[in-house]
Amino acid sequence: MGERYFQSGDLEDAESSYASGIAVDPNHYRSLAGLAKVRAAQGKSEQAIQLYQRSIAIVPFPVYVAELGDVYTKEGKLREAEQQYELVEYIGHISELNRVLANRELALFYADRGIKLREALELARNELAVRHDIYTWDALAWVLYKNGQFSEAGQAMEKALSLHTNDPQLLFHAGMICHSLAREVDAEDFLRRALKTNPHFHVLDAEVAAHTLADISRSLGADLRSSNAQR
Amino acid sequence: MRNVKANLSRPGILLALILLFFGTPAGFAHPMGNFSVNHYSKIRIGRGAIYIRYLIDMAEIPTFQEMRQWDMTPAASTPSASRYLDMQEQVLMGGLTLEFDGQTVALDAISRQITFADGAGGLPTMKIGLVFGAKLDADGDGHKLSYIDHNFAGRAGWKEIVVLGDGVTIADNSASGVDRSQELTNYSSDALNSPPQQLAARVSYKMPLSVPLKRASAQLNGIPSDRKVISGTNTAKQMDTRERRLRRSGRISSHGPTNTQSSLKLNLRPTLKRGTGGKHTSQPIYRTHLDAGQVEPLAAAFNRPHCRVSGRAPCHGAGARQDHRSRIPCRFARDR
Repeated sequence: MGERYFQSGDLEDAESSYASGIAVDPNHYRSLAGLAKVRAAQGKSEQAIQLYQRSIAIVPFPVYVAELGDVYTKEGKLREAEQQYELVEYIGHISELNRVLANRELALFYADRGIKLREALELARNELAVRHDIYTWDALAWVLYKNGQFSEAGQAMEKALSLHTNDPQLLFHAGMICHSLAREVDAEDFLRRALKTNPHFHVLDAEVAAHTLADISRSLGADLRSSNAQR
Repeated sequence: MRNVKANLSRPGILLALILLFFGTPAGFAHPMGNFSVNHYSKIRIGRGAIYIRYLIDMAEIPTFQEMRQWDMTPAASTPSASRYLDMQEQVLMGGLTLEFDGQTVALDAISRQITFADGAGGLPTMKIGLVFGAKLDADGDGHKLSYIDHNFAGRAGWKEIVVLGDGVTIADNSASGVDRSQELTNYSSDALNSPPQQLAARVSYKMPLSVPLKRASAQLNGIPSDRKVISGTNTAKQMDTRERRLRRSGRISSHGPTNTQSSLKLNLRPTLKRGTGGKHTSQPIYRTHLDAGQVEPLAAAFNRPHCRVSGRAPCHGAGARQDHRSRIPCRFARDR
């Protein structure tokens, strides 16, 4: 429930949902990480870091380790961030040794950091061979985008949006992909909706969305002004 | 389905979740999962002292976390590993609470050891072995002990406490009197789905009216015989110094059978292995031709050539597998 509240930008309900989870079980690592995410969205980075650390001390779940890395990055603590990212890669390597399908998260992780992009593509495609849900299509779209294959990324993103899911992370990916395809009106719409749904949907991506949206709006405005001038 | 659910304890569910995310160990991975931190405390209660053999066995992921956090090289001989061990000895000791008849008892760190071994895909795993001791002012005939391990709270893994009486009679023991994992070298496959989760123990025991002299001698006034074993970074000289300091501070009683001290000296000296021609080899090794009841080397926990993981990988992440250099015989049979 907490995750759903968070996605919709309802930080207050997300907070109380995660807090009640922790009250029932102080070692509930998902609730701890969920509350950490809320704290990060509220700009309370120190608390977010402590909560993520508690969660990871119980289960070093790679998604949360990466999120902690992102909070450190935002705080300018790059060495600490790098430690977390290295741990995610290490866990990914072990998962690979164990032949586990945790590929989607790892593919997104590589794509977000712009590393091991070919490997990320392979991971996402392998995942799609066994899971066909919208989030796997989203992962593939995002990895294709990072690999510079914008047109294929656009096609994959359409499948990811086929259910009209109002998830700001999905909308952000869609916006950035449309931007790369010079579909600026669509890009503006997707990014605006992502930020409207939850202005703090991701500790780093929300800022990228806001900057890109401002750039697009400026260029669209400039286009509008020049077409008006031509008339 | 309902029965299955009912049989799954919380740790069991967590472990199942872990295996789901991180995979079932296929080759040489840690049988308790790649991110488990496994605990083991063997508490030996003597007539005037208590002694805790404390082991932490970290699988691949926590080992990597520790290496990164403390800038540590995974090799026991490196200064970074030595520094890390010194630091962890204090941290882990601080995470243990021991109460004797309701009073908190301060522990004394006696020896330490760290080993690394290959886990999944050749990635390092780590095992820390510590020995703690404390003098107990046990002059009555009925006493209560309470022990809590607060370290790595919530982290999944095997958590085992074994309590043994050494010259005392255990009346009640909330922990086990049986060593299930053989000092974290044998994670029984039967127990993998519901590994022991013992992090606290309550014990009541009595002192017998008289103890045979030989037995009392072996106990060194209650300090169990392991006390005499040199391991980790301690040298014989350091241990002698520590011994004198403990005696001065009253942590070890200085009175006792006179032959105990001489046998202690004897135990501390490595004996020379005899070659076939009756000549001494140049490399001294520790051997247990001494009184069988007196020596229980910590090192044995680290140097067993094989650990058994029934029905699974032949070896796991614990430090028992790789180092076959030492040949200290395993002498824990009487504990089991």
